[in-house]
Amino acid sequence: MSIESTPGVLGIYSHMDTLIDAIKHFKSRGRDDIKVHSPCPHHDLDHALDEPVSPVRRFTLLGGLTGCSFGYLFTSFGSLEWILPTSGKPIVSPVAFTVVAFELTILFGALFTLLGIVLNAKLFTKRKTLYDDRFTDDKFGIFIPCTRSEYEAMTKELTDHGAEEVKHA
Amino acid sequence: MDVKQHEINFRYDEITKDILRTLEKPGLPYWIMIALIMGGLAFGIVAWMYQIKEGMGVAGLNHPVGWGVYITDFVFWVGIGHAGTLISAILFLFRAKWRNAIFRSAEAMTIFAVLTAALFPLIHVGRVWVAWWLIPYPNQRELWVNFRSPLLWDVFAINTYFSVSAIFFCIGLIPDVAAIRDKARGMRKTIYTFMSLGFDNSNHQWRHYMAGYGFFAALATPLVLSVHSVVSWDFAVSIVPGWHSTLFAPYFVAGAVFSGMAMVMTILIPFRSIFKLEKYLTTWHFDMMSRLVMLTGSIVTYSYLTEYFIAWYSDDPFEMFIFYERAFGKYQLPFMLMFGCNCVIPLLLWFRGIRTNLKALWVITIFVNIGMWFERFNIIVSSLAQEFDPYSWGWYVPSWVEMGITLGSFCWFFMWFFLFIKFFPSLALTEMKEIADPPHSGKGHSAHGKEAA
Repeated sequence: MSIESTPGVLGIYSHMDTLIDAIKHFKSRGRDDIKVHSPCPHHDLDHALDEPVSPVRRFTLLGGLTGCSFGYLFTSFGSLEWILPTSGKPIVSPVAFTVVAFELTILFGALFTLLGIVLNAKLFTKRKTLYDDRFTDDKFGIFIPCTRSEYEAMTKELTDHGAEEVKHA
Repeated sequence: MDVKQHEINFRYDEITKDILRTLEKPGLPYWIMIALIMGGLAFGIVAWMYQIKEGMGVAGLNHPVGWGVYITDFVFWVGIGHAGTLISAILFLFRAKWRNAIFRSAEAMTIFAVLTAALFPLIHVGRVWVAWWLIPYPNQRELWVNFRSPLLWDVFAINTYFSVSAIFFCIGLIPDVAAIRDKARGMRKTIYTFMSLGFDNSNHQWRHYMAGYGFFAALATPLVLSVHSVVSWDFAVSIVPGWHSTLFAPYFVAGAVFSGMAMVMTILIPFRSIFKLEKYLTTWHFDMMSRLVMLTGSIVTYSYLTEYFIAWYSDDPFEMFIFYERAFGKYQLPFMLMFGCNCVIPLLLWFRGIRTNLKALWVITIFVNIGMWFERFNIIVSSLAQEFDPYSWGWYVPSWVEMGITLGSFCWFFMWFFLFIKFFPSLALTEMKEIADPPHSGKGHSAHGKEAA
């Protein structure tokens, strides 16, 4: 089990429809800080959570543009640094260099996307909230950050909205 | 029996249990296979060491055929690596649900096939210890590589393809590794905890993960099409008769998908039976894959015929001569094997009964793989052996060293695959759950899993 340092209450659910009803309830109460666990992503959950579009796309765009520019500049620089005349072809040949630029667009796009996922999804960081091993199997969960004095009220609220088990730190 | 989407709809816990079962302690057949594979690999390594010690003279390569089995193997293995990314990226974008059960194995196959292909330029250059000269970097010799050469485009294409496919594969594994972590105990738990990178299946992580996964698929799609196009330009950009053709890029890509899909089926048919995964890898999946093989096989056949038509229509004596010699000359046997295995035998797949008969399908896919290896051999060797000037013609016969290294390459590929299936789930847990109905309380909704259908 992980290190828990964020105080809060974790409700565990077996059914997607109950979970979605609970999410809608907490969202209607203005709780945008809830953390929902599910064995796999699902469109119904996305709709219920109504989160903004991930900024990972900006990383991909930036990576692609960087790779493309680097591809053309690097090949042109290398060709001008060491002149290799072949069959009267231009030393700086943009059409031939497009192949390298294309490959580097994809490569840098992928590397920046990876960076975008790692930074935004906060991979490589220790989990600070309560967790249950069954979330990767067949259970769902809602973690609600709250102070210790609110534990009892939150536990009741989660149970009233379908949670089968409730844990707190 | 026709199995459709609703019949592979299982409960979440059932999916986890069944798929993680493949990671249990292996039995005797597994160890026997590993022993055979390691024996073949050892033979390949000895053959390569012998070549390094004695020089390239021990290979059958000589003037005028400077490209032989090593380049054939290189092109063949790059082609095998195409099906994985096609299935994982292009079919993901098309939302083809039959991909979910097969894409993990196909992706793993891609990585291992490209790893295998990457060995061949190193083996082929002979002096492997200076192969790094291919890499463009500022050096004390103040030299730069020729960026106008298709061989250098290949360096970029293959390295990019391997890097992007490997990242895509590893990213796809993260949620499944987290699932293993949560079931594991002891040392295994520590290792899988490290490899799961702190993934906890939360909405914050899924949001960015799924966005990134979609972009990986979008980036990998043009990459799949570009890689074998660039490999084909190694040949097409030259003036050698039989190579100098604008047809090569689509022809190579179709051939790559054709051979890659065949290899996926060659591997998955016994795998399904050994691990008792019949309910996840159904005849429906194999029917769908067979249809892709039929499509790409038809494109390949059309390309062969177009090559002959264009050779005749061009009225170029060298071009016409090369294509006549391929069919009726000294390399007639590789040509017949290529045409028979790639154009005639796959016609059986037009019968639905054959597409759903896995034993027949397995044999057909092996023929396709043989045919595609000979296609590469046929293109590479026959054109070089009889170029323009009859004075410089010469015949190429592979030596035992080349065949030993080829055998070793197959064993190298299967070694990685056999290790993979015991350390990681070969079916994607998370994506199998994505196509299953989520559990419902039954209050106004249907039940969970197969009973829902």
